[in-house]
Amino acid sequence: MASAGSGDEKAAAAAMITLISSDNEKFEVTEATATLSQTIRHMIEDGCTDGGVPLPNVTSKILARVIEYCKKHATAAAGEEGSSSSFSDAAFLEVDRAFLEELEEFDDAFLEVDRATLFDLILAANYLDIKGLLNLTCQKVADSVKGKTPEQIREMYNIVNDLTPEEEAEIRRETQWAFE
Amino acid sequence: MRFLYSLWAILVSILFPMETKKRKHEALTDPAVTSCPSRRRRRRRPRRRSLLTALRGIDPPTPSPAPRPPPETTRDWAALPEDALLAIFTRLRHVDVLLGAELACAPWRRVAVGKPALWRHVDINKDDDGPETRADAEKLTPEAWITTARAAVGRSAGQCESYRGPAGPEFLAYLNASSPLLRSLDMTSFFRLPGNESADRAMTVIPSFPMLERVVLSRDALKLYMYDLTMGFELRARLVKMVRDLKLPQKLIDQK
Repeated sequence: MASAGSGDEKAAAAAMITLISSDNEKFEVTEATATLSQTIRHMIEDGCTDGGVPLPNVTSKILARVIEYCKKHATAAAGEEGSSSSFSDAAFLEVDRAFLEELEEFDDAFLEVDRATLFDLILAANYLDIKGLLNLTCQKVADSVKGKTPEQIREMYNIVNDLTPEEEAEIRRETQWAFE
Repeated sequence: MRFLYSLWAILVSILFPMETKKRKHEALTDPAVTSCPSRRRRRRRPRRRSLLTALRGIDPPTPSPAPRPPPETTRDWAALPEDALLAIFTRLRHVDVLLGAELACAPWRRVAVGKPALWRHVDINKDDDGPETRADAEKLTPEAWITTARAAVGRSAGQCESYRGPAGPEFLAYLNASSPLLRSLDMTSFFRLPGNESADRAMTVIPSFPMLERVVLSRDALKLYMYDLTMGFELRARLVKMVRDLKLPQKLIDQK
């Protein structure tokens, strides 16, 4: 992605943004952390973050977790940028690998939440447009669904089968020998 | 007079311990009281209560069950946003979407069916020896399997660029008609209907994908009569000319 001058970037990294959860709790984060969210990035670009960014769809409980994720991954992104300039240095690569491993461990630990929290995190990641977080949380759902029958999935996620008779008929057509 | 006084004394001694006992008892059992955090209120409430109960001559009302907190675990997973569902489905094997996730409920089904991007690279190889082999996939007849493959290709709305899975003459004809962008064709097994004309059709179909760059025929596809008998060297020569990356079963190569 084309970026502005490095001087601007540095100034932006130091700037703080206030995020306001649905239950009116305020969270101060660096711009580097906040801009992991494309939604917030666009708001910053449009210059409408003065007085805080209200996030009426995100509770303080979930927002705290989202920020935790963004902080960790923002430093990861910064670390990557730093090391790429001295790519030839083996020591840097070693540090890089250690950091990636740490990040992976963080992600694993981060995902140890109940289903309701996982759901709320997915909604927040979707609303805030945080790709990494959406992918991470959706991977967890995908893993849980893998190999499962529709009935098992419904049970696991409290889903009611509301397929219409037309859709049921279509489904039957799709798995029956239908070549003329 | 003396008699009256002693009677009064007895009455008092009987009544008072009863009253205090009752207070204690109530303070312990009344949930409204015990759950109250303030000490002051805890002391005051029983007195009012005991007076009330004394006046009415009834027991304190049995506490109504505490209102159940809204169940933490219920979220409407059927109503996940489309983008999230898409992110989940792209992380599943096509088999897991076709035989699992998309049959769970209507909103999930609509996303699976309505997003051609999901089906750009159809991969529904039945014989993946993973730890997550599906029992329901094993039960499908070859016919049903190919019909399912056809449904998957159909959902790509003409955008299918690669296919990996079972095939047959009729399926190849369908693939050819529906997927002009197909670049890669990996036939993991081959199912044919009886009759020679279908073999002839298949023979002409493979080379006529305008974008085809890669053809893979698995060991299972080696069983095809068409390669040993009908396809022969001529078709193979044609394939080699048309397709940059041709992977044939070893046996066919050895025959040369």
